[in-house]
Amino acid sequence: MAAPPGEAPLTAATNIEPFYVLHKGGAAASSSSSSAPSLPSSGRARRRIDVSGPASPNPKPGKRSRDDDDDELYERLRLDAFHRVWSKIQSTINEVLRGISLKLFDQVLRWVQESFSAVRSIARPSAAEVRQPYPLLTDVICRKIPTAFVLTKNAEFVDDITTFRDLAEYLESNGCHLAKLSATELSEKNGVGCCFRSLLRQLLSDVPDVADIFALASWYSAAENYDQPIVVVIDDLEQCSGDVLGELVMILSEWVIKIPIFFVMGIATTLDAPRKLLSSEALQRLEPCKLTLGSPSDRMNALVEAILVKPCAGFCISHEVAVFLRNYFFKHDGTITSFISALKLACSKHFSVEPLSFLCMGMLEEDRENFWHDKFNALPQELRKYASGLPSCTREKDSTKSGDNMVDGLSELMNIQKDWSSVLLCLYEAGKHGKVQLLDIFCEAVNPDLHTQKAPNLPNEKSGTSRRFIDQVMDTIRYLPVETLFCLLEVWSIHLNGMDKITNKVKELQSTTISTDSVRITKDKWPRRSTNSTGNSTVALNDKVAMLLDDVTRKFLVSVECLPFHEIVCFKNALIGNPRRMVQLDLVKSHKHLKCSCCRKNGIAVSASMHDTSIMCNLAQEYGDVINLHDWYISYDGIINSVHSKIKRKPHTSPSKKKSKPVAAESEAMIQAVTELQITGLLRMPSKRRPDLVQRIAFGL
Amino acid sequence: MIKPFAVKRGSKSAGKPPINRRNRLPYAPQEATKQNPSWLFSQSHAAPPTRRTPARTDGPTPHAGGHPARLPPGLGLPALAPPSRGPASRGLPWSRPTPPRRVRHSGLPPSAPAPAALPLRTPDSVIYRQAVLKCVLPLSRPPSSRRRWRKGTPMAPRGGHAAAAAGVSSGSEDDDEEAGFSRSYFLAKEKEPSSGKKRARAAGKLSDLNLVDEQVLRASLAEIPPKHEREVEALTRSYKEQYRNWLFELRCGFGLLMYGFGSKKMLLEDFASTTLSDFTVIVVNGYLPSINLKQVIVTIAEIFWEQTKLKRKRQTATRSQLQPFASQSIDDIISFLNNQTSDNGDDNVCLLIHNIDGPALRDAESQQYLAQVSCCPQVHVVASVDHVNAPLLWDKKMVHTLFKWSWYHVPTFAPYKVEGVFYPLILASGGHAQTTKTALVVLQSLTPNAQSMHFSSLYTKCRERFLVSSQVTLNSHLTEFKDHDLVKIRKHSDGQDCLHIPLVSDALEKLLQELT
Repeated sequence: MAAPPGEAPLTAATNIEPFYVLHKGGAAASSSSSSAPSLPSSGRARRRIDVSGPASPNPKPGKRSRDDDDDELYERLRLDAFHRVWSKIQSTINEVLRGISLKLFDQVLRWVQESFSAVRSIARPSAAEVRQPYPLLTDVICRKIPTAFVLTKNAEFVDDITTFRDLAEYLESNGCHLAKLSATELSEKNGVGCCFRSLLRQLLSDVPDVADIFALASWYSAAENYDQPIVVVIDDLEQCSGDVLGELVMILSEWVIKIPIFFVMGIATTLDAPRKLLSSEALQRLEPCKLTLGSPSDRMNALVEAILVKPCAGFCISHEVAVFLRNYFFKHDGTITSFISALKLACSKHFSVEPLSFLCMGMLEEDRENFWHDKFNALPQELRKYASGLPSCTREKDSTKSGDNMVDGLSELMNIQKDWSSVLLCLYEAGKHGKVQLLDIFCEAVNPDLHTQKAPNLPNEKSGTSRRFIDQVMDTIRYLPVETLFCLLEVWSIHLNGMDKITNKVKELQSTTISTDSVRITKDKWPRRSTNSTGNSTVALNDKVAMLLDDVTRKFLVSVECLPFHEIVCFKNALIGNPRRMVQLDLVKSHKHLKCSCCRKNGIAVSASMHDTSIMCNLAQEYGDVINLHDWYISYDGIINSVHSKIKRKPHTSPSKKKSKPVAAESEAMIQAVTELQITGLLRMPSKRRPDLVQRIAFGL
Repeated sequence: MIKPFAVKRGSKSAGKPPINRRNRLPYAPQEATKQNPSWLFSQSHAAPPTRRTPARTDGPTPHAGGHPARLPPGLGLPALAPPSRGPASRGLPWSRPTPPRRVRHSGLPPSAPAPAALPLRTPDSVIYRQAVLKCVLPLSRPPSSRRRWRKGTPMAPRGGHAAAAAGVSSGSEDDDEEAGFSRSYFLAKEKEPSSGKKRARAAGKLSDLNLVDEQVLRASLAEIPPKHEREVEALTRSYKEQYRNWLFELRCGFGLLMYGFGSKKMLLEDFASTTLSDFTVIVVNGYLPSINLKQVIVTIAEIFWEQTKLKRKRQTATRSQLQPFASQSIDDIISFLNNQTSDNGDDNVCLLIHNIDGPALRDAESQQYLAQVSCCPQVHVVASVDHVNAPLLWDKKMVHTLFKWSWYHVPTFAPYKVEGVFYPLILASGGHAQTTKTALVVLQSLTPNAQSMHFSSLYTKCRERFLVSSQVTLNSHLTEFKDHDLVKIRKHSDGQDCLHIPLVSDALEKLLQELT
């Protein structure tokens, strides 16, 4: 940026205009240049001419080198790769989540069908009757709206959005008329009229000006609509306004025989929620049915298995990122949505930063090796050099022919990953009996330290911490009853399919299990060590299984970060965004960012050469939640005009005259600094009653 | 003039509080929430670092500072903590390393546990803390000091808050850097020529400084010589390398959110004009208080409309009807935007929002609309935030499914020139000079009859002087004064309206001088 930030060539007009069009995009600009400037708001359109000045990134626009073209080509490749990989991951996620919720969806559908037939069994008004502008006169019993309360058990509503979206799709595909009402529509501000409008907008093709129940009735009486129920999904009941919802319930309940509308309501808390929210009158008009969703940790386990453990799309994450995600999920956030969005962000950052990441796409191809060969041969020299210089490859310097090396390396990486995931799944299957979460084991399994300490009998501190969950799994196996052990071995042999050596060992163990089992089937089901001889044999068996697993773990559980070329598929940076902390750190340690020579020599002390806002912020650290402006000013002044200060910004300012002098002359910088602190939200202005004091708002990082 | 800290300053002054201060309660709790339009941004959600556990040694009231869990760094996701009062205070400017008078307070342990145990994160925690203080204080305080505290401390009602601010907090400052700051502060204080005198005097008042008129100040603010100009420029330039990555993520479907200290206006506009050349870029100056979001959305819709119109013209040459977007509701326009799809993907609009946390955009409705717009298929958002609590504007749904923020820490240290224009200035004489000037202007522009009416006595006096002939006229004159805050009306205890001029006597004198 050539123009120094203070003296923007940007005119004042664009600064004080609420908004303006900076420039038009390629297509639009070319087309609008051929046509008349016909934007209705073209008065606001303004083209910025000289923003970046001479130091723009393309100083020689006419001379586009081949490198630029290559860059662009590979960038497009990476973008395509991202879209492909992520859409694969996303579809896997959707599949997994849908699979988990399918049971619930079936329940809901069955309930809808039952309720519909129940309603129809009471009365079956003709189309003409439905269209009559008054409800059918029926008993109170017939004025109840069948309502399914779905308990979501989630930490946050955000996870249920997809569930309810899928539910809506499922019901719709099974022939129900579907409408969704959100909490914003069911709010006091919008009232019941808005709900109706929204309902009609979703059901009718064109909404009449007057949105009322008659419009709905006449739509429903049409032959093609008549034979299906209308399901209204309200995904977070607790956020809705009770009055508005109550009113809606009261209105619709009068018509429920004519227009069979059913509710599906999501409840995040407990079944008390509708009772707290709705009036008793409205509650009486509901005929409830309770359904429950699976727990978030079940879903999490399924997701981790499908996305991270099984190499579904070729993209994986490093130990650091995995630990970050785990901590974020278990300790801070608890929602699957943020887990997924963090993963997506990681994925996009990987494809954005890693030049060779487009090779990930090869994992999705049928003929991977060919794909990689082609791509590698087409690589420009620069990227080839980069590939051979990847840190993971320079570790093992025995490359013969770099092209094959990379392709082989990637293929091997895939094979090792496959074994790795099989073993990890075996661990998890065993861990299930000890309530170990998959994400925990996963984090240990991707730890590169795990691989470096391969020696089995080295009880050092580090291995103790890095193998906590894996050891827990081993312990679980040692105390498993024989029947469970047998089932476990069955599952293992499925997971280990393809790893012949180990499968044989598992089979061996299975046969011993069967033999001991047949002898001792009715005896002690919970063998303890050193009980009797039969017990001893099972103990030995348990130990054998555990030893096998331990052995396999040490052999095959190689973290991806230990493999050559892992950089291509593995994202390693941490994801952090925390303005409260970072903005304050910026200010407290401004010299670290500015990299100037003048401020650092004083170390951490506040010096006059520092950024003014930084000085003020540092001084503010000394205060409580209120800052006396006068004192603050004086101390700022003291720093700026200190005798030792090399930079005298205002030579005429002598400290001794300070008090009698007008403030403005020397304090603009401070005033500006305080304004900036206000903008960052670290400070609040003095009130009229306490004009001497500003208030600090944020404390700590 | 109030000197809220005078009492606590040194041991000498602490013993002799000025009596006339006893009824002043400058720390009245309700005061805090009054100033800022949005509680979200005025309240502190910050967690004081756990290390800084203030060990009170001298403070007359216990320090009720809390230590809510530190926000773990994570994607900048909004921490949905309940609103809480600004927690604790730490050191003080005058917290000189003088030997503590009273060493410890037996009621509360000196270090972390007790303050930390107070549930500061609940909205009613102030009340709770006061209750706790009430229980603790009488037991642990010598009678004399208790009386003194009640009498002299103006911040009594705020309990822990202000009192902690007043107490000399030596604190268990195990952080070296913090200690460094403190030292530097004391050094700064020592260098003051009149520091000895000042120590005896109470805390400084603003009126001790000669304040200047706001207009003059604003003008001179524009001419501040920049510091570290080269470094700032280099820093901003260093982000150029990331432009391609930003564009990449934008194309991946994320929104870019820039944070970090310093104005990011230039940076973002440079990014937009150099890298986003394929996009139609609409810049929204969120720092302005006058934003009409609907106009912005209408403009986006018009751009799309024009694009489709052009396309259709090329293809079928059929004349399509013009949609008057401005007369449609925002929801309708957004649903129009949602239906925009492009086959070649180059008809994208990028919404560049400077300060998406700006004062005019802080309400939930605006953020909802922005979020909805940002997830329209052809719309991308690049935004900047400056406020440290900006993530509290969004809930998880908005962050993850609508905005899809990708956070970038880009401190620029560039001055907030345009962004700061609408913030009130400190040290601008919002006090006397300003009032005098406005008063003068208002008074001079009044009719001669109204000008000659000063204050106090009412209708009769004016009538005696033939200034007004009826109460209606008097009232109309008074309305003028009231509108400009020159006269205020109070209900007297006997039920009558009482007029007064809300100017300090200095200001009045000055005013009269200038008038004559």
